[in-house]
Amino acid sequence: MNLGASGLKLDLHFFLLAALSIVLIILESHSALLQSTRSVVFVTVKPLIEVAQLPTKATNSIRQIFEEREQLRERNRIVNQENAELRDRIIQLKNEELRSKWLAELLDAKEKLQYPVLSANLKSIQLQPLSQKIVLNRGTDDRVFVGQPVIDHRGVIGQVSSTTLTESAVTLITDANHSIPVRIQRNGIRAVVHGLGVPNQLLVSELQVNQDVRPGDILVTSGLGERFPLGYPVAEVTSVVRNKNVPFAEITAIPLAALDPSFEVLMVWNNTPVESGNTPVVTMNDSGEK
Amino acid sequence: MIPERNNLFKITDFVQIVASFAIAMILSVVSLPESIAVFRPDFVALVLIFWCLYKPQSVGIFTAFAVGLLADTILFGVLGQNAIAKVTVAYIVLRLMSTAVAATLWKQTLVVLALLYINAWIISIVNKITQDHAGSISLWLAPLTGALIWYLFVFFWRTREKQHGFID
Repeated sequence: MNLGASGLKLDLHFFLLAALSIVLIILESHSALLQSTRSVVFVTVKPLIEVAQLPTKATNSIRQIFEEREQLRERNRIVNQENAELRDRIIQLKNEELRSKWLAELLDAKEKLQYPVLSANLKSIQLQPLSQKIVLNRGTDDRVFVGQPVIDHRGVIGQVSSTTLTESAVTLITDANHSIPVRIQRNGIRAVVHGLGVPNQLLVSELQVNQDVRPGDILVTSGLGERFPLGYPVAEVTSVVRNKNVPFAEITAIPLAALDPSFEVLMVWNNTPVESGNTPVVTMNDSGEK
Repeated sequence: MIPERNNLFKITDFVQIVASFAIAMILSVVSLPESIAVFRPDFVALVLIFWCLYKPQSVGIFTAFAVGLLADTILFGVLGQNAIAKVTVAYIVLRLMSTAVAATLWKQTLVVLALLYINAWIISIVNKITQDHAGSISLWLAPLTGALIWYLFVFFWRTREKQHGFID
């Protein structure tokens, strides 16, 4: 550019350019005149600035990716937790719903019974082979007596086999030592339902081969023995096997009452206590056991 | 010199010069953490001194002025402060220090260090007058890094030139 410039020429150029620079500085600091010049020059250096910003942009976007991942993970965690909590709430609500439905049905059953009843809660369930018992939170303080029927709105659960002041043990109808006189609801034929000592399985006896019984028949209390309220559901026949060599049909049934530790049951005062041993259809071999 | 060869050299020189100034300006504005940024030398000044020493027929005081203005724009400084600093540096190199090209690397580096301080002081003086900026520690540190870079670069560059057998 300054090819062959002599020393004097160089001095001259230096002073000119230095003076120009000083003028620029003064103009710049005292007015906005140079703003447009600056923006024109800026266009030429803009690409350089953009190149210079590349590393920053790259690191920023990488950091952003990681931050987004972290945020997503955190949000996911929160959502999962909320989901678990809500699911818990739903389960609770469903339980409450079931419970209130159950209570409503119990109330319904109580009104139909026309006997004094007391609701009781399950304290424990003791299901062992042959011995099928539950413990309720009502005892002699609540005038609970041995032999008292225990039901829910669906059917007979069992009868009280022993009591303390505040608790009572109930022998279920599925207990191996329990029998209950019944009728077939459809035609009034009498039979006896025996427990087998396993949950959800009952044996129906005293029905001859030629008598009219079929799966799906509802067995209700017959009132014989005067322990249970008359006509209350007990079991549903599940299978009928007839063997011509045997006079009685082999009939199995399942209990209609359900056992759920969270739900109330009803204890019924349908009549005065009846001493055990008086009736052949109801056996109480373990009334002393708690 | 043969004219064609001369022209050919000039084109590559031009490309080299423009590219070097572009890279210097990029390095000047690449954002660095504050702790490292105080050590960042004035790359534009370094490149300018280099070309004024080794290609005085191509890069002179006008180039210094233009490059200074561009640097002012890119660094958003007061327009003219880099211009006057670069013009002064170029003037000193061309007028007084052109013999430094043949000096030992140590002496040359000392000259460059002095030039970088002059450059930094001029810029900071203008800053002080126009914007009342307090000078930062960078004013003292950056020229040292600049001199170090100069030393390393010229060392390797001279070695390479010797290997290729043409010394300017």
